[in-house]
Amino acid sequence: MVKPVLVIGGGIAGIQASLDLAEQNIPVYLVDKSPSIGGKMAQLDKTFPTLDCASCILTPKMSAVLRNKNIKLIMYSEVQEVKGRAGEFKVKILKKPTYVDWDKCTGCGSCVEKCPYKAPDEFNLGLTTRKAIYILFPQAVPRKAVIDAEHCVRLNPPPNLRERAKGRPLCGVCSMVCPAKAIDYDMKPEVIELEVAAIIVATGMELYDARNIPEYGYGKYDNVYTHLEFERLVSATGPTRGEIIRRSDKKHPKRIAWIQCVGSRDVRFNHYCSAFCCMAATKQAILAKEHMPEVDCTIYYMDIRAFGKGFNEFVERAKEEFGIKYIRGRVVRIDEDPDTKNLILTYEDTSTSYLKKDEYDMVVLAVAIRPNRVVPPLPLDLNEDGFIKLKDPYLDPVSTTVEGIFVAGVAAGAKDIPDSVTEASAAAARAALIAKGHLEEVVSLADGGGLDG
Amino acid sequence: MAEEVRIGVYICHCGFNIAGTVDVKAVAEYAKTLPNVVVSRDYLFMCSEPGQDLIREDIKKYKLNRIVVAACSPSMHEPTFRSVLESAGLNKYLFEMANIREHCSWVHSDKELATEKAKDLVRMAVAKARLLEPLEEKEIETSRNILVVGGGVAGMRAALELAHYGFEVYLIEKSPTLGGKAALVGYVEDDVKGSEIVGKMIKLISKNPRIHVFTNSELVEFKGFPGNFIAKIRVNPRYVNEKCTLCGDCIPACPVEVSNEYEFGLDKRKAIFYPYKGAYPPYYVIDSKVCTFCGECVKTCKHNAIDLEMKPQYLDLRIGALIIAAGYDPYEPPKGEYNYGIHNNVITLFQLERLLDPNGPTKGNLIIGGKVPRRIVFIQCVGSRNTTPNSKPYCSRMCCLTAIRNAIRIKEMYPDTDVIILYKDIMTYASDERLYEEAGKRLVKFLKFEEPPKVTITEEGLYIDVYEYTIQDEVRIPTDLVVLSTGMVPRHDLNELIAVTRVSCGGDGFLRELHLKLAPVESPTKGVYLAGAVTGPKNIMESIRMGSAAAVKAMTLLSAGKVSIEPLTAVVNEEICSGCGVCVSVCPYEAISIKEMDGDRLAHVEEALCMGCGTCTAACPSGAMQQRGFKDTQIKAQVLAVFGGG
Ligand SMILES: Cc1cc2nc3c(=O)[nH]c(=O)nc-3n(C[C@H](O)[C@H](O)[C@H](O)COP(=O)(O)OP(=O)(O)OC[C@H]3O[C@@H](n4cnc5c(N)ncnc54)[C@H](O)[C@@H]3O)c2cc1C
Repeated sequence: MVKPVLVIGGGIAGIQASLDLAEQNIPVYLVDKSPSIGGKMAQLDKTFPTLDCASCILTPKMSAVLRNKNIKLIMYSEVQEVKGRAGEFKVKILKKPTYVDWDKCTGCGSCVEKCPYKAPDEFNLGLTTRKAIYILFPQAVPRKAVIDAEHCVRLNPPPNLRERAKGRPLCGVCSMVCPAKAIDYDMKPEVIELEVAAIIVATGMELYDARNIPEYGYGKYDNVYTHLEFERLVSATGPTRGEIIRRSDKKHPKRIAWIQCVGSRDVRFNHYCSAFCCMAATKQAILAKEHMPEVDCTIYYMDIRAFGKGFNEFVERAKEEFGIKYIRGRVVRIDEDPDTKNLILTYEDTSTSYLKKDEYDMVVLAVAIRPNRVVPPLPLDLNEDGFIKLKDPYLDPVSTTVEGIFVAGVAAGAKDIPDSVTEASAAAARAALIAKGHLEEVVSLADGGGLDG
Repeated sequence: MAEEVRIGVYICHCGFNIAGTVDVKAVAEYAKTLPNVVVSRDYLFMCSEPGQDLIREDIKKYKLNRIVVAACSPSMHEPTFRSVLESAGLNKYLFEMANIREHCSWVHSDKELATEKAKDLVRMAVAKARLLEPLEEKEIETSRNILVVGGGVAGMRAALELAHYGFEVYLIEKSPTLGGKAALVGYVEDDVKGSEIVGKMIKLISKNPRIHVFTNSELVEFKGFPGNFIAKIRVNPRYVNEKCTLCGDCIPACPVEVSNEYEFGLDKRKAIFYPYKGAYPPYYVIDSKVCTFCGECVKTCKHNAIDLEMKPQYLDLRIGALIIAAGYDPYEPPKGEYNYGIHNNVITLFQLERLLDPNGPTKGNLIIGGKVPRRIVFIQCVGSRNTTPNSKPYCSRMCCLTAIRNAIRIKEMYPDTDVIILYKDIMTYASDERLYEEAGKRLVKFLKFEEPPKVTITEEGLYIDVYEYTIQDEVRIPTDLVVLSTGMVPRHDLNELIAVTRVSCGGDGFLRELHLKLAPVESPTKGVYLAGAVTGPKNIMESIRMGSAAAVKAMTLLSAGKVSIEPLTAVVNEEICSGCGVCVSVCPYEAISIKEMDGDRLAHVEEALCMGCGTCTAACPSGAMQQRGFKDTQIKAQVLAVFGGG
């Protein structure tokens, strides 16, 4: 008998693992805390080193997940509890209320259009706003609306309005315009209980809060961005429809600086290297050049980590074909010119050992990434950098310290898309064995103990 | 009466990729004017779920029976859109794709002209779509045997994974032992030896009845189709059989001595030898390239284990999938590069690994010329990152970490030895950064260069001259030992494997993946998967993961027990065929034969073998050979649509 597998996290790693399992007829539950699968990759514009567009290669995978009858999506949900052992885990999942009955919602967007209340758009990292009822992004899978209870006046009326309403319900526009009658303001959180043979954790990453690094003025200076914000800024589906313009004056920057290792490789914050930022900066500088051939692009770095297939060639191309400048040196601080909102970088150019200053219109910070928090509820061990610990990195490089629970993608350490995808398939191989009842064989490669309970 | 042709045309913006150069709205409007087009639309990303829904809904609403999508290359999204047709209840071959991205927007800049060209491409696609016919796929049973080429960590891992799943696995290895390069790495971590990792995997393999190991073996022929390949294996003679007890009596008898490749030339071995302690299978082997067949060993062998008459044997296997895990070669600096091969104290990183391995030629002691070196200098990027004229353009990924790990080990063993690493960029990505930090704490010194350092031999010893980047000055470093951090290069014999399996390689010489990002373990040939450093530099952990990943692809292909075959194959019009046999001679897949039928000679296409390349249809003098989905009439309609008259 074939038993189901639980995949936690629907980024590219979780998607690939789910597909690899489902395509061999193993039932999969794919849980994501967000209303759409896609993860970070869905927010990227193009991908290094081939510059193919992230959407073009990701959306077909996302719709393959949706179409596959063996995959059940459990969206807007988080795992609450895991008990049992490999072959028979008992899992409790908390499904947050979306206030929209997804069986009825067709994703037509009428509610979004008419909703009168706005909230920061998390998919675009707050660079723009969305409505209180929203579809995460146009290519979302599944394409369903969600009410953000915090910003919905009906669900969370501000005290002054509540007083005036005198007990009558407020707003209700979305419910009125929904042709499918899908809005349900009384929806409650729901607990789903599952029994699964194996679990793949692919919970990915979040960005380190750049505000913790005071010398770069992120959050204080208008024209300092994170690298992920810049991805949204160059993306055709982004808040500016791909126009690279400054927050302060909506003008095109003429000089852009990228600062690497912001919060990574820094003993004050995170020791590890975030692995993909050097290439992401190189890619973003090329994209800036493609959008605005006159723009001047400079990357401040410690080491250029061009270790993957085609990476070093990509950096050479950036230098030779696109004229992108690389300066080896740490930026000590950024100051803002209060009039122009330009940014003055003070840095040590290690090729001369002199302290120098340079002015830019826009600065992009390669902010460190951090694993999303999963412990607890998952009973896993973490390594000293906070990523999920592997039981035996050599003999079984996708197994966690709990038998039957595997890990893939950035959850196990910073990495790029190809490495995340490979790991996901590897984790699927292991999980498939347990799902098909070959637990002893899995154990033979990596002996370990189960859980109590 | 044929049903009325009702075509839907969909123009994709692909974000800005197309819409930036092509006026997509204008193209969509234009398409509406073409005959049989019932509906025409444009959308931001046709491949996205809402884009696909558009098509599905229109098929129902407008009773469409042909679909044209103008977007990217069909190699990207033809499968996506075909499945849209299928889910809407339409035969999926009633679909045509116009490539207005790679063939248009990406290569042009003039918006007006690009828009005109896009219209031409759409008109051609519509003309062909009008003549498309529904086609049916055939299902064929698949074999449950899997062939893994390469017995390194990636191949062994794939074999184990698949055997556990229930497949019969044939694991073939060209050299006389399983284990690959990982077995020769001294320490991969503080207390983990490369040979231990390999040893554990070998133990599992040797105990698994479903894994059939053939060392000294090569893949010499490979044909067929996914799920049903035919592979011919040549098992080269080992000249030593299972009676061998590893007693070693033959060694003193053997008069031939050559450099030992398993110690990277640090010591010598005989023509009859055992690769290294733990090698598998555990028998001696005769290196036929150097053996003189004098027979001395036979005389000394008490166990009757040596047989100089052994001949190559051939094995024909029917297999469902092939996993290529053939690994890499260490970069071998040409004689004189950094004075390598001229001065004994200039060694490679691989040789250093052997020197630090307790099972190695010096029993793990780093003794150079009878002494512990007072100073060791590593030079990074040897053979990599365009550092020297002979270098490859890529980074070899594992050398920085390997150098640093060994530097720390040396510092632990010999605290008084000064260790310096000359580098361009230190590539300790992700949590490996911790080791770089550790090395700093242990006072390993790091100097950065841009121009390659010079190694000079003087009477007093070795010197390195380097222009140090951060102090911007020339530095001269006397040293006892120079370690060249040599990288990874494609196997010297990879071309033979490419020729046999028809996989392809990229500009860097490593095997090419189906998609660099989203299909890193799949080759462009369905049923052929790739694992380990055969696609480019990888470390041990990454190679093992790829082994598992490649295994899951094979599981997916073969777990159902049958595969479907694309019907876009050649078909013979038996009325016209004269049996001349031109098609037979040009077919690269041996899919066509001449058959006698009622006294007539007729070409016959074995559909499962036909890859739809179209060579035979072009060669056929009478037009009897046609390819489904690309019939002469269909192609002609396209040509006429663009050059007029159609
Ligand atoms: C600015 C930037 C640019 C980049 N550019 C490139 C590039 O060009 N090429 C490249 O190869 N890589 C690039 N990367 C790296 C790439 O984004 C990652 O390698 C990849 O997206 C990792 O995928 P993942 O599935 O592991 O994680 P994620 O994409 O983070 O996905 C994790 C998923 O898990 C969900 N989740 C998290 N916690 C829970 C929970 N507790 N319960 C349920 N669900 C949960 C999340 O909602 C999310 O959907 C870039 C990264 C950044 C930040």
